[in-house]
Amino acid sequence: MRTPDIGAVTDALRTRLHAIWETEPGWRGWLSTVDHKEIGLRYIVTAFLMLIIGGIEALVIRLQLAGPDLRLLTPEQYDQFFTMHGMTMIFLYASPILSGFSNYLWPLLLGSRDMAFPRLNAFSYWVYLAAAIFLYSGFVVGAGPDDGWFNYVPYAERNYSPGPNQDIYALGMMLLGISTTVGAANFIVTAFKMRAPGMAINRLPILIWGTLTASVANLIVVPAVSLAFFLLWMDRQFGTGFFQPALGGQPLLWQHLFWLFGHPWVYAIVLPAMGMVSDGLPVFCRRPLAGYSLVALSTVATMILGFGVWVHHMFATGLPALSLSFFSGASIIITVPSAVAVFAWLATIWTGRPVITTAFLFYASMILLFVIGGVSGFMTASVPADWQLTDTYFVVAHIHYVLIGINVFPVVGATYFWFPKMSGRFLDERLGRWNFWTMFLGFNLGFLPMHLTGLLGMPRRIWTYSDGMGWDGLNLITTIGSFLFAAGVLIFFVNVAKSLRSGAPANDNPWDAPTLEWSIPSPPPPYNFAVIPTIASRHPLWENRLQESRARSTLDRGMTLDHGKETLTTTPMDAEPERIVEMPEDSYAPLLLTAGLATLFAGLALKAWPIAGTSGLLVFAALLFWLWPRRQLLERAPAHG
Amino acid sequence: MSTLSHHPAPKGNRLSTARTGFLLVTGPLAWLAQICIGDSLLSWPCFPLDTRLEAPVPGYDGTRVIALVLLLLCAALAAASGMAAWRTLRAVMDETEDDHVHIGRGRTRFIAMWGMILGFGFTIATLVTLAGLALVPRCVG
Repeated sequence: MRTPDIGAVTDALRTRLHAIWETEPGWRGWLSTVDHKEIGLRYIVTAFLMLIIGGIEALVIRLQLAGPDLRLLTPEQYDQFFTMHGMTMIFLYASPILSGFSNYLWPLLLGSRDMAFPRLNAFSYWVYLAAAIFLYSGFVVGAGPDDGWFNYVPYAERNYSPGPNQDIYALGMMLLGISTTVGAANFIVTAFKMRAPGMAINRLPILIWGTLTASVANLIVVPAVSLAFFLLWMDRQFGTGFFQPALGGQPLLWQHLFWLFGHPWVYAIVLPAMGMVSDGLPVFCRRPLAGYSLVALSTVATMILGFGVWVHHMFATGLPALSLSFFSGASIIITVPSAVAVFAWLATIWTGRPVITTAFLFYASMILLFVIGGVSGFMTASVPADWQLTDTYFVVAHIHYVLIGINVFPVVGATYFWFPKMSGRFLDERLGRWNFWTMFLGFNLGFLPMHLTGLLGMPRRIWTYSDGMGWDGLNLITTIGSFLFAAGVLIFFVNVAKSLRSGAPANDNPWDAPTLEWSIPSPPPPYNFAVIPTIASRHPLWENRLQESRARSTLDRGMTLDHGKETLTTTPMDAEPERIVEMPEDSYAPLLLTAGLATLFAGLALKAWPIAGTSGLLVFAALLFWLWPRRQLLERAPAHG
Repeated sequence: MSTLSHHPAPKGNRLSTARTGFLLVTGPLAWLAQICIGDSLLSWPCFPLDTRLEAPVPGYDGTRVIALVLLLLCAALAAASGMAAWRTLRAVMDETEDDHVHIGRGRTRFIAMWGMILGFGFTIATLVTLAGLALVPRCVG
């Protein structure tokens, strides 16, 4: 075993590392890169593109519902629009955007030079892109999924939906599941093995806790939904009857399998975003997060409880009453850890010295929106209340407060916060204020009255409604609010485009923040850290100010690891140095494997069995190419020689 | 490889990996077990095939008692892990990363505190189910 060289950061070291870690310029580098920052940015750009597409679908839906008896869409088109909107926002935006930020930020927050499995990281992105294109392929030819994002049987069975619509959804979700699963495994190993020395488990930024927790959940629950979609596809193609009572199947099996996945998934798409708030908000309050240990624990506890609440989506299915009470109790209990985070944020603001920036506004407003969405969720945890509210617009309002309030608002806030690190430029603060207030007012104008629409009895997913139901005015207000909200999102993208070209330059630590990513240049170099830092506290850049401890983190002197594309692994609990690891070079293997998989799934969708079979061989060949042992990675040397 | 000059867990030797696992996992697993097994025991006799029955299938009345015993057993397990974590916490309460100030206590203390909250928290979460068992009709509500 080699003893690592210890040295200071010098220009010569930086030049040497740059040459080792830099991706080849041009299209070859673009297709083969495994740099986590590049992959993270691709995730972010693609997910924001999906947000725009899903948003346009929402606006079309809102135009259709702006008044009674409108005929902008046919009922069949409307079904596809609301299904595509839900699927896009939940599966193709809300989770991938967080993967994007986490991919970009994790190694920087952890003091590492890359994720644990860089090629798996690239594979995860390419498969996500392929799945998104696959899922949209039916919609663009008028055969998109049309049974809602949770795709209940029997409507999704061939008897009721004979076209290819549901086949594309089923196969696309299985493909997306591969991306989510490998990405989750990568995050888990990275969190436990790739931290800078001294970054013990109690010194992790909350964003790490959020994404780690979500990743563990994804690894456990994604197989349930992949299985559900596989069984549905078998039902549709081969008449297996898993969900058909006439053939001995159970329609409720679908709901169990889907919501075993679906409810933890909801937490998976908010917990990392809550982590963004927990890490970003204190920076603008000029103090550490209040109750760090409890907030980190509440993140984990929320997810654990999240595994035991799936039946609250099935309260109206006729399950035995006592059975429902189990899940009602759990759904009420889950508010406790959520409240811990809310009180910690409030205490941080209350006891801090807030600096009102656009990022702060987005983070702070999220607390309010979280409480509104949380309270409406708490109401539906009560079985009798849920029986009145389920399948009405009240639930639609609730899910939008959760997903926009606890995902979109923190994500936009995080973009204002980390944009200077990613680009070396600030986002425009003046446009930012316009951006925030337009989004905040538009969102609340659109979705707060929607609770009332639901209480007045308007069912979700109806194509249109008759005059005189008492829903006209509320729907018109919701449509106006939705367009105002969309204008706010548009201002955000205008701000990003403008600031990328002419934003004010940002230094390494423009917000005077405490965590490791702010100790390196903006934008970060390909190798992230010239020397591997050693960590002595949760706030390496605030140690002199906080005087928490006599020990000091060492950021400008440490292991140089410049004999190749090297980084350090550490022990899971206390991050003691363990091993120098050689990281893989850029590779086409992830792209080739994705191409094979995408063709395989296309062959299955088209029932073109020869194409599917040939693609299976391509997948096998790509796997061989990927896994073939390489001498430079010591994969062909004996383990104990 | 070199070790750290300021170790984040000076009292790490007081908490083995196995004990760490017991403290962190027992409460959540006990809760999940009671909710999944208890629910299955109580649901199936009311909904054995395609329709929900008004009363449990004959011969399955005892499942309510089994679910209750299971619930109490799981609550006791969770409480036991909470108690064990509390004892560990007392043993490592004064652990700091060095001898300076109050913030930034050691990693062992952090794990023990988590274990205590998870153990006692999931005891309470498990006992919440008792309310359902006491108040809610078995099959038809």
